[in-house]
Amino acid sequence: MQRVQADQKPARMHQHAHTHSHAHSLQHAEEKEHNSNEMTTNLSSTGRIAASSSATPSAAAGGGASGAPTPPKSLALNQNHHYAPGSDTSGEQEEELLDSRYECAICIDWLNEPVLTSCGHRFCRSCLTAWMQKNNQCCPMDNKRLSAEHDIFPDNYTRREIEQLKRDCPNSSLGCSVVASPIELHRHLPSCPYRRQQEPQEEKCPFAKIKCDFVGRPETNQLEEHLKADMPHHMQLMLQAFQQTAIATWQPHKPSTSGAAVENGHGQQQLPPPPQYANGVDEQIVQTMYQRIVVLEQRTREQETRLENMQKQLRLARQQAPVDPRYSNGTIVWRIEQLGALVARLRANANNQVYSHECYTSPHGYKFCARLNIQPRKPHVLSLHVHLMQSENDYHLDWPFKGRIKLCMVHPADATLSQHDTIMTKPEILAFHKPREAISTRGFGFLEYANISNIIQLGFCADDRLLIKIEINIV
Amino acid sequence: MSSLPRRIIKETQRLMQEPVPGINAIPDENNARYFHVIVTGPNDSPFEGGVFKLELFLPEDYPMSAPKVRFITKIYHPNIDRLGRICLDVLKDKWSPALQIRTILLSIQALLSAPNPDDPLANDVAELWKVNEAEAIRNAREWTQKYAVED
Repeated sequence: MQRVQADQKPARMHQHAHTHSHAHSLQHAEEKEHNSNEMTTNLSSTGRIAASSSATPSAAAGGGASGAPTPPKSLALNQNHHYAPGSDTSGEQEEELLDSRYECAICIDWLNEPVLTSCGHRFCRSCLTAWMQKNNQCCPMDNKRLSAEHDIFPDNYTRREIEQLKRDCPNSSLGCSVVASPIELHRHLPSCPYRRQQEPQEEKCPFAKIKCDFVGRPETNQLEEHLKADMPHHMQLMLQAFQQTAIATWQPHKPSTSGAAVENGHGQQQLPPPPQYANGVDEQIVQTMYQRIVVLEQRTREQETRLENMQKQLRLARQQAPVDPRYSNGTIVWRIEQLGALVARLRANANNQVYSHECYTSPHGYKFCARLNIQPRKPHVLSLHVHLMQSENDYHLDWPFKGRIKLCMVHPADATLSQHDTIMTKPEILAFHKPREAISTRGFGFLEYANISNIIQLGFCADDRLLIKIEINIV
Repeated sequence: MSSLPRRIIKETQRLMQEPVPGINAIPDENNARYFHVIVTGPNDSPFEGGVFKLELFLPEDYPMSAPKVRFITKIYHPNIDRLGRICLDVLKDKWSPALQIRTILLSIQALLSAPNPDDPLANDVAELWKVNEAEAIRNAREWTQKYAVED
């Protein structure tokens, strides 16, 4: 709730600024002509625009402006009204009375020529036929196999039950005296002489008031495409409309500038009607502009969000690319953060172990990871082991693994002080056999890799961080 | 009567009159087959507190074929890829015309509660979900905080 409200405020401010900019642009255009009368007219016109602009927001929102955040119900009413008001009334009334026993689960309407499946579900004959003609030989409700020859039967009982439900035509209040079943009413309504005239099934461009004659069908994207492609034309139409407004409001003032007493009286008599007409035109144009601004503002916000998301994805992709274990060439650079907390956790429970990220000896080679833990009887030393992992390459590799493993605890200040260990594989060690688990339960390395207090005293731990580098090569 | 099928009109009406908790589906003002959807992250899941935007489109032969649904908000989930495409059986071979927009969106919300790394669409995410579920859940929570909370 609060977030939505917060969103509304900046949007409104932005719209105001946008409108002001537009007015400023017009003013600039007028000033180029250096005509004092036109400048006067422009000032008056600007004032009216400002007044109308302040009045427009609530009106636009009330009217269901396309871009403004409106409650779902208002939007629903707008949508329903737009598409089928007569049918909407009829639909609502039918829906209140529609019993689930008589509803087709496919078209969500009264069962028309109902059929019953052998698994006990009812559908309109045409709905189920359409579904099964798409190579779907099963019941939409429970997926039981259905054959058209043996599992689908006319449900004459239900058909008769529905035929006996009689009710008035929804247009009875307008004079229609027909009483019929829902199915019959459905056929009757299109030809009912008392039916309300339907709204046109076409969408007009919101700029129709300034002579844009585009018409599109509501179920397509034609209107949206038109709004995108023909924006320059719309701006041109708006400019022309404003010019006409300026001309219309300019003429009545001309006689009053003559100065004669009689003509002054005549001028006064002429003043009342033109401002009213001009105000009407201004308000329509400003309202149209406002709606368009709201739509554009919303689209801009959406595009900005998408752009930001794509940029984040790109950033992540770049960061992740070097880390792809497939191309690590058998090297694990293990950056251990918060070593103190880690040691405390490992000591607290002997079952606690921490694994590094994995690496491959080559894109189609062996897969490894490393493990640190602390033995319960030796809480002062760190154990380090290397583990083979299952990978999609195992079936074509030679087993057991034969290679050389180098372990290096890197000294952050002086590389010459780093601790190096090299171990060679032996075929009889089970740790190098083809792994049977995602991470082999057997590892190879040092039960007593390093004394924890020495790590700290000798300066391997900088800012509570430890770096262990492991290189695995095939020989 | 417009050429829009009655079923879509009825579904839209019901979505407006009987909203589904945690789910908001609003038809586009220019295209009645296109819906702007918001799904909230389920409680007790790493997506809790997140507000996820999706887009849903009803194809020409709906309800005989499934709606097209895609996440617009980024989400760390083994069954949802980086383009927002969703791996969910009822959106593909298990579609049935008895399903509706509301049941599809409820299934997607349920998928957030119960990721299935054995049928992945994002292989790297699914792999981590299997090997180190705690870290995967932490990532999902981080992505929710980063991408789905400001929205």
